[in-house]
Amino acid sequence: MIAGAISSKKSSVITAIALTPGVAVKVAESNADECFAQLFEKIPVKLTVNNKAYQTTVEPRVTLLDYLREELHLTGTKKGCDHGQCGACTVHVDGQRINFCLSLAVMNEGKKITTIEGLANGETLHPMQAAFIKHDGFQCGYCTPGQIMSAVACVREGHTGSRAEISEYMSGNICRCVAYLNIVDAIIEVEEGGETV
Amino acid sequence: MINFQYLRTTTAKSAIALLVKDKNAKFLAGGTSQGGSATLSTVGSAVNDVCVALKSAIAELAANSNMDATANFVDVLKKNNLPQIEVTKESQGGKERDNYSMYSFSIHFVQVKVHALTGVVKVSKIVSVGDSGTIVSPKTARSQMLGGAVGGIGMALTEESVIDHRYGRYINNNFADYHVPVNADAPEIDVNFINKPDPHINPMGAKGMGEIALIGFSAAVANAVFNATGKRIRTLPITPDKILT
Ligand code: FES
Ligand code: FES
Repeated sequence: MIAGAISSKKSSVITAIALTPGVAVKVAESNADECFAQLFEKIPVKLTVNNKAYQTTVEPRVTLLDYLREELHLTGTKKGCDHGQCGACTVHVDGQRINFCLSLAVMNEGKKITTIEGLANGETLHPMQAAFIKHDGFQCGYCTPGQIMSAVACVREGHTGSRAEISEYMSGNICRCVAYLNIVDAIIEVEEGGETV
Repeated sequence: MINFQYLRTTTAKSAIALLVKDKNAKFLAGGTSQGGSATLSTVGSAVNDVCVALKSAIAELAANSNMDATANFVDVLKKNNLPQIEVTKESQGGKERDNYSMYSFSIHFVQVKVHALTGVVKVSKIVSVGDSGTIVSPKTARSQMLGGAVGGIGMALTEESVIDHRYGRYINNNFADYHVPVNADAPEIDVNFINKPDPHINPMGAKGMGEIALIGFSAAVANAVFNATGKRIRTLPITPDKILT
């Protein structure tokens, strides 16, 4: 009820402005409509990305993937399809791997997000990153941030019982260069190395 | 700027291997595009040529400063008060180009399992052998062959772009409808190389291998399907409907 009253108040203000011709032209010229839109359409969110807290406002239609890349400039996470079909955008939300292109920024209020940029410890690579390099787990590298995030989650989930099981649980991440076998080798090495990932 | 250790190496192959590892070495390779499996042959030859030129530049410095030709390079530079030495060399193809072909070759062995009821084909084992002269980087060469083989599975069995002929657009322009192989589609793959230098193509004897990893693969799958079912399928991809009819 209250929200409805406020929004109807807002819209009557806009109508009043819109009906005044001189003002309307000025508004358009100064891009004020954009500013208004921002005021009304953006929603506040609080996120923690790679242990850093962010408090901001975003439009509700913005995916977290776009928000990370365009606003926070964390471009390590890639967009392959924007349809949840390729896995290039895989990140961890509260420790679980998800396709970020399918998650709106506003849905992640208060969540803890880890991207590929947050995996290494300073200059020391995460064991999975090191294993990918050792086993040549990539060629062009486009799918790699997603593969590594998925691989880390795969180990944490305990889906590393056999090559076949690893392959199955890594099949949400498409690699057009086909580094699949090397990726499985990398995961096996990390699993057998016994380090906490 | 090129590190001295390259000059102690005897072959161009090891020089290149070291060069690519050195963060300080700068490549100013121009004039060649990356493609046609020609990058290694062209850029690699240029690196080889500049290493050879550098070697003789240092030998000359040594001779001018009355040092033995076998003297340590660092000492030669020290004696001449040089912090570094720079050599630029333009590298060009020779007349061998006209007299020899420079193809690489590959052969693929494929084992398939065809489901008797559903006609689904599964590639269960692959052996690929590549002959592209000297193998400069065994690890990445192997990755290239793996990529070609599994890419070939997609080409042979699942990948098909369907066009709507009324509007000229692709109907299946997404990964849900256009099936590229995923991790679980990659079987056990055994990659081998002949690894014998080609005496004519370039000083390294190394040829490109971008294409040979894939070429021939879908034919091998089609042959295996023929062996398994007695059916000659002549249009790719070999989907169950073609096997069942
Ligand atoms: S970009 Fe998210 S799954 Fe492809
Ligand atoms: S490394 Fe190129 S797509 Fe995976």
